[in-house]
Amino acid sequence: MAEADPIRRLIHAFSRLPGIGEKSAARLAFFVLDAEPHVASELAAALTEVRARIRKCSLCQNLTEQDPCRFCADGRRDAGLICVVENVQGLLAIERTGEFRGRYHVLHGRLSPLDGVGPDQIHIRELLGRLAGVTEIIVATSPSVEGEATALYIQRLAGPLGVRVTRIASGVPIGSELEYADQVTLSRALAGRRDL
Amino acid sequence: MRLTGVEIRDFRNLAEVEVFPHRRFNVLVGENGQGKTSFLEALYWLATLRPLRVARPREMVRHGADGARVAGEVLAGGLIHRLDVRLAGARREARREGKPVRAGAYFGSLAVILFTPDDVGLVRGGPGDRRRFLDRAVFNTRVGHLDDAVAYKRALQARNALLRDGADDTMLAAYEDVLGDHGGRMLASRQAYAAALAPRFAHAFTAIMGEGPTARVELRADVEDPAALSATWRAERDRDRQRGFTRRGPHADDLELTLDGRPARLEASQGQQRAMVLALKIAEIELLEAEHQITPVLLLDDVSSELDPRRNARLFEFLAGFGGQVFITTTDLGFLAIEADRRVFQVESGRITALEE
Ligand SMILES: [Zn+2]
Repeated sequence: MAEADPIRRLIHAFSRLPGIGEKSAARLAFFVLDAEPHVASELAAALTEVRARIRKCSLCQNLTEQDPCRFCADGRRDAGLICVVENVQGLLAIERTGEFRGRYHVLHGRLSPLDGVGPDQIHIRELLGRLAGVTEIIVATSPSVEGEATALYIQRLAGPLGVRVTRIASGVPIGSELEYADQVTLSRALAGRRDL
Repeated sequence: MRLTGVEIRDFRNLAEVEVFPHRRFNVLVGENGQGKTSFLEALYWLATLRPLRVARPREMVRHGADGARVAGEVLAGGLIHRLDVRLAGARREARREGKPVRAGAYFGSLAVILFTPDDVGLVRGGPGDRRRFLDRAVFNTRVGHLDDAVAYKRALQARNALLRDGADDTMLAAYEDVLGDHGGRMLASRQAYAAALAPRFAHAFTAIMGEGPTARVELRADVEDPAALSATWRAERDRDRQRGFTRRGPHADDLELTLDGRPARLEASQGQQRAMVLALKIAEIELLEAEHQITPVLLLDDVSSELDPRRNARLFEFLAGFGGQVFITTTDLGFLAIEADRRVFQVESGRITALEE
């Protein structure tokens, strides 16, 4: 029996999602077909709604329903302090600590010349455009080569403008016993040690 | 450290193997193509998570099988650790004590040093072969070295892409900072290691060859001061733009081998080349034991057939003095001067059986 076109289209659409291969995409598609009709309609509605109602905050690029987003609109947060993150998950992780009371800037990516990602693809210009009154930028990009390069690039652009640029430390997770930290993490933590 | 048990499934031509090694010498004897080398490759993979001799990991899987698996029990510091690495499709999973772990937490569990007839490429081949030897040796003593080497390579590719795309100075400078960070640590580790290796190498070479020319090993660093790397790249930026790639840096280093001051690649005879390789490995093992208190497991693939009787005798003299565990393959037991403290395994058509002695 030949597959009907809509099924193949759905499988193809699922297979574009991160972490989903052809096999998983087919499994998801047939799950949707076999499930109660409301499963498919709810999924379709949620997908349409998220695209229609969620956009990037015009200040910090966070994904939001209202512009500016709730962090930018919150007058109690310190506007002189900006934490730069690669994505919204990064923002949420910092926010969960409850330690940070400044504003955010979401890059939606990181520099990666090998993948054709340059400064224009990751909202660097928007960041530089909102530095008036900012005293410190905390760069919380990932500890990968791309994350490091992104941090250093921001430092090279914002530093000369009189803004202090700092980088979150990478290393041993708090509360974990040293002996259980893996050797690569430990050696990074040692390389990044600071004076007390 | 030593292996107390090894289990292999569908690795190369080994369908199902279970071996309980001797704490000292394990001799695998058999005709060529029966699976002796595959067994050493399996142990090498278990220790380093790197495939040996194959272009793609998939080639490690036995023809017709879905995946490959190698498991080992390692006795180290009085404790038994269970290591396990498997390949299913393109996915590799390493486990320690039955739990999946990242490579960073896995490395260091089992240190191996491999001797193969191909090693002579260390002397005859290009600088790349020697850098690989050096980096692997450094990695055995400092796990973070691999992390730095991988990051350096990635940042180097990125800088090269930027050079060709006509990127501005700020972008290049950011990548030079990243390169300087990883490259600086990488270079300093290489320098320290090569300096410690040099006297042991010269000594081991003389012990093998007796009176004769003096052999030296020395790191020829392209940029000698780790702190000067970033400045070098800055100064080379315009010329690198024209070239389209990054010329200077640790990726252009060489671990230079000389005989009476002249390049061994050109000067050394076959016998001297093999003696140099042997001396390098012996120096590496001695350094691991003396300065890092690690006794590695040695994997020797058919090396005796390549050595003349005198150097072969010297090799077995060294092995007799080495207290650790050794796996050695041969087509003929007569090549090996190992009579005691041994277990002999017959390898035939992918099956490995211990011989009663
Ligand atoms: Zn916002």
